Amino acid sequence: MRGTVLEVNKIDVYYGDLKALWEVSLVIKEGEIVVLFGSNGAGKSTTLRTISGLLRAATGSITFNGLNLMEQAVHRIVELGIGLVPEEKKIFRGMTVLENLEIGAFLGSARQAKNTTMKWVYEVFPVLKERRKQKAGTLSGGEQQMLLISRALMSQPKLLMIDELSFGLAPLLVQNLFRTMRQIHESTGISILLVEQNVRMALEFSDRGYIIENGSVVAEGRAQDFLNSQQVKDAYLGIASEE
Amino acid sequence: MIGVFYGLVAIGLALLFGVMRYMNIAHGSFIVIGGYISFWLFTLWRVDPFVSIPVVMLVMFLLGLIVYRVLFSQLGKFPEGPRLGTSMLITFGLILVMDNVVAFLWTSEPKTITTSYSGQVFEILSVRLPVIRLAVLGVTFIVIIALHLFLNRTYFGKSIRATAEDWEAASLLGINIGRTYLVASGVSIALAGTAGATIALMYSITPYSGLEWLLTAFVVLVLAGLGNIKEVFVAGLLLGLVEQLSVFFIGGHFRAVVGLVIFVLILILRPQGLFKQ
Repeated sequence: MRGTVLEVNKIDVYYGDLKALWEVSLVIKEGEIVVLFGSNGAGKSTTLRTISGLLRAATGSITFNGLNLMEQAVHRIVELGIGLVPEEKKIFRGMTVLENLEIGAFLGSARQAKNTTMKWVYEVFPVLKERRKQKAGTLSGGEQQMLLISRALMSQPKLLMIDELSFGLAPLLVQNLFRTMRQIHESTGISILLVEQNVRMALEFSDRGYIIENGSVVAEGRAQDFLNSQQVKDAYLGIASEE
Repeated sequence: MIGVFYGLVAIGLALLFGVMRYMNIAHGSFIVIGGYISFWLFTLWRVDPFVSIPVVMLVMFLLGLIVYRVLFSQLGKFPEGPRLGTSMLITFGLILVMDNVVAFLWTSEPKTITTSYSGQVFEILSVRLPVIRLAVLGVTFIVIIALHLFLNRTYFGKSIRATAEDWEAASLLGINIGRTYLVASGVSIALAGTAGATIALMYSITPYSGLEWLLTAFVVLVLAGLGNIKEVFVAGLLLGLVEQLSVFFIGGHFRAVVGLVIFVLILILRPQGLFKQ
């Protein structure tokens, strides 16, 4: 029986006076891959940002390996083992690929393991090794996405949250990326929480999923069940297959 | 060339703005305080002004930490838009306080540091170079190199660069933004103080001459492009060059005006500065 790593319990989140999340709850077990999907603006990114500490929940609780995350600073939450690749693709453009990766390993224990982690990252994404001396801003969209994931991995997170892995990328690239993510997951056992527009690919990749609409969790289940559900197919997979 | 020195005057301001998006218009006042500390050490204990520079840097660094804790950190709550304006308001108040404290401590009389070698001149190939200016140039180069090593070779320095580019992404890698801002404030003020120490040697200082130097710093900043840090020294060099050329063609009276003219020109023709962000 796998232990629970992340437990989000009935959080309400506001942007100023605007309520964005209503009693959102979710659970991620050790080594699980979970996907959040739903319409645009439903609150998926908000959920991820709240877990990472960039936003504060007004009520409810968020615990990670038993530790309460609610009042913690962002950098503390990262220290505890949660990494986020946010929706806005934010590499450090003025720094080289190598420097981006290095700064990813800023935290104490990650810094000590830096060289080993970087070697592994280069094996997973050889193109990053090729371009390691280049300024990050000169990379293509797909390469920047690889850099973002790798940079987050450098901090050795136990839970990696990725907001829109596939955004703006060509389908073939997305497929490769998901395949690589699976490799990463298999070799590290890292827990993964995805927010993803490409629902079909995400469900094929994940163990479980949550559907978020209008700031609330409206459904929860195994990825396989979602893939087989007619409702889900009509509502979400129809859109995805048109991409 | 004197231009590099203009870079030194501006670099503290550029660093603070680049990292925190904070416009510290009291920067000039901090420069002047640095000068007064150096002056004090020289007059009271006969400390050679160049020897006192590390002391000035340390004291100013600590002052920067305190100013951050007490004042600047309160602004972390503001998003970037209002932060700029509010920072200018707060630091404006700082000018009033600091300038008057300095006037109280040291009187409004202009002070300058004259050492035994102040008048000496170095002669190379029939070019006469004042020793003081050469030494200041040397100091500036040391600062440039030290800063470069700090920002590019140390982890903390790189975290400062990362924070300057994107503080949110930096925090998501475990970088403590508050601590980064704290150290950046200390370094910024320390750099201002260093510039001040050299100014006390080459020119004279009064409690209110801070604004004059703020202006120079500001022109260099705009020339380099707001947010740029490394390019500030090149921009300073350019400014110095243009000033020298103007003296050659128009005569010395208009030297101060040249800076302002450049300022206006840049804002009209290329407001983002000469160098890309």
